[in-house]
Amino acid sequence: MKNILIVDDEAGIRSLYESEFGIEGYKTFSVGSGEEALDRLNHDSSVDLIILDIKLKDMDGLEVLEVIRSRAGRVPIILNSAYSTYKANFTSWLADAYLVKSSDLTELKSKVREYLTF
Amino acid sequence: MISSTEQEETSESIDRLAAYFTLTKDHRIKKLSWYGLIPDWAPRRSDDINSAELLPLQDPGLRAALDRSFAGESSSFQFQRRSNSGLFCAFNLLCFPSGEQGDDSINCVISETCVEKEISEKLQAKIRDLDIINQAVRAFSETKNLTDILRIVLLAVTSGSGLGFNRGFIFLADDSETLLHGCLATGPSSSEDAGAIWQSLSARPLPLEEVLRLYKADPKIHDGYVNKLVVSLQIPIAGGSNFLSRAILEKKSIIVGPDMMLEGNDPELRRKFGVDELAVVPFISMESRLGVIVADNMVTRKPISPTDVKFLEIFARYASDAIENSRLYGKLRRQIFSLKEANRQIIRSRENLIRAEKLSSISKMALDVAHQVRNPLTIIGGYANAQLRKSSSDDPAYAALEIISKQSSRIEQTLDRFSSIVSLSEKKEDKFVLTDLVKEALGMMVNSETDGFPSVTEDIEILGARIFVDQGLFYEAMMVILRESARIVGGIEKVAMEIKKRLDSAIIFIGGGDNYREFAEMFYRVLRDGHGDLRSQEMAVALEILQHYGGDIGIGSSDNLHGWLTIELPLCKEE
Repeated sequence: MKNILIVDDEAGIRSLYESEFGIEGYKTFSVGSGEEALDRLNHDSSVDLIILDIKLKDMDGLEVLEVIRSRAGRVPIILNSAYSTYKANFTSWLADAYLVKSSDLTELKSKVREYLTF
Repeated sequence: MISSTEQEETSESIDRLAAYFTLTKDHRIKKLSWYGLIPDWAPRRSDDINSAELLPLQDPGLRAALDRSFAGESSSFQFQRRSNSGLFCAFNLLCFPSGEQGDDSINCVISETCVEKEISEKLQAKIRDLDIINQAVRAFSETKNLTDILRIVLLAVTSGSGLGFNRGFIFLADDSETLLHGCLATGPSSSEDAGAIWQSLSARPLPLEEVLRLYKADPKIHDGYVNKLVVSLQIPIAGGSNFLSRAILEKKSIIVGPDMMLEGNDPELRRKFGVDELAVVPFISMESRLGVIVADNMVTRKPISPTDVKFLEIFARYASDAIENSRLYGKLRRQIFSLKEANRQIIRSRENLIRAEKLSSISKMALDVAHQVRNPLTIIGGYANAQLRKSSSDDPAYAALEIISKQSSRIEQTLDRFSSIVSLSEKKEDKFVLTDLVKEALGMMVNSETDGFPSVTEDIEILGARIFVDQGLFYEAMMVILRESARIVGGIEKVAMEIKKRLDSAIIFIGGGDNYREFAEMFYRVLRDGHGDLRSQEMAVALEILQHYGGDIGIGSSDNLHGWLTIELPLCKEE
């Protein structure tokens, strides 16, 4: 079973994604801050994919993205934000995909499947 | 033969010729002494000379004058005599009693008046030379325009009422003093041509001042064969392999003589002038080598004397000052213009910044609102969709869940459109004039109160050329690069930029500081680490931006001394 780490400061989003990806057959862990995410990744090497929000309470999701990449981790990361403007920020190009949040999770699920199939 | 005027300068001092002697009553000469050069017909003995050897005693006028002096009065007499070489001279004889009691002889002095005439003629010639210089200097003072000054120089050098050479050619050195460029020339191309010109001029001989006034603005000066010849010539200065470069390098006038060919001094260049003899005089200012003037007597074949060259040299010193003043004036005007332009750019950039800042604040606010709405909407719609999948259509909540899902989706679409509009209002991707963008980026960096403006040189071909970019992103990339450049050279004002067109691309060369080569090496260290990877995150972003628009950053060197950072950008194809 593949493990997905969900990083979002909105409890409602975390709960929705856990439920939806659980139904899809993935094991999910969710955290509400960048620090928690980095801490989790420090101790848990089983994470197969990260869904990462950009606007977090403690730090910028793009900073978290840079730290993860600097540790040479090649775990797939999907940036999932309510903002579309961060696409113009070159740091966001470090992520494997950038999806704007939507109540229709079809595209997000499809991307997750794409990265976890190979 | 080439000879310097200094080596062949002849003495211009002339000794006044005079003889002193005592004349006895029986007309015998005693105690003869000469001062100055003794004429070829004069006796060298000092005593017992027959006075007929020296004086025209058969002339009654002379006899009467001598008689008056023997009678105790002073007298004078003028006479003429032809020398053995045929030279005709005039003399003045002064006689006066000896004054000693018992001595009935008289004392006489003969002085040569034709020497006085010669001196007087030489003085007249000097006054005329000074007048020529005075008139030319007056004409120089009335203009700052370099072309006008060069025309005045040529007119003064070739006019009959001026220095009187047949032809004149002016070559000016470039700023780096590596090349002499042929600028302007005047004079006939052949004897026939000269005949026609001189016939028209001799109809009304004019003083130099009048010639300068009438012909200074004559555009025909540019049409002549000699002018076309001179503008086609570019002579390297370094090495001094020809007479022009030697004159400017050694800061010395040269007479190029007929046997020049035998000495192997660029016979090809010599053939272009088509004469056996030329005078070459450098234009020298306090610190710079400005150029040279070449003058010849192609038509009259009059030999060029060291005196001619000396006068040309004196004239060239005044001309050099006028040329230097004109260049400095031009440089000052360009600097003032560029300062004004820089000021305008700063003002424009500040206005742009204020506008961009206002727009940016509004956009940020709108996007924050959209974000705040989108998160709960994703949750509401997401759960509605999840519940819908679990329910069947006969479930009483099914219709309500369907409505929530559809309405959530509808609001999301509205938010998408809204976000797009906000993004579009921020985006400034368009065709922009490259040189304007570069100057605006500089303007944003330069604090006009504390910083100087860097030097920016634009190739004429690049003016108006446009690139397709997002204005804001381009500014961002340029500012990162300029910040690094300023840090390397120790201040933005020390940065030097050149913008050139190369095929379909624009190249921005950035360098500066005391050592250009060092600049390139230091920039390379900023750009890449030991593995060749980009070292700075900011520089990586700048490179990404430029590459996004088809450009690139590189390090280049035009020669062993000059290293540059280069930014290449594709230019838009203009319709």
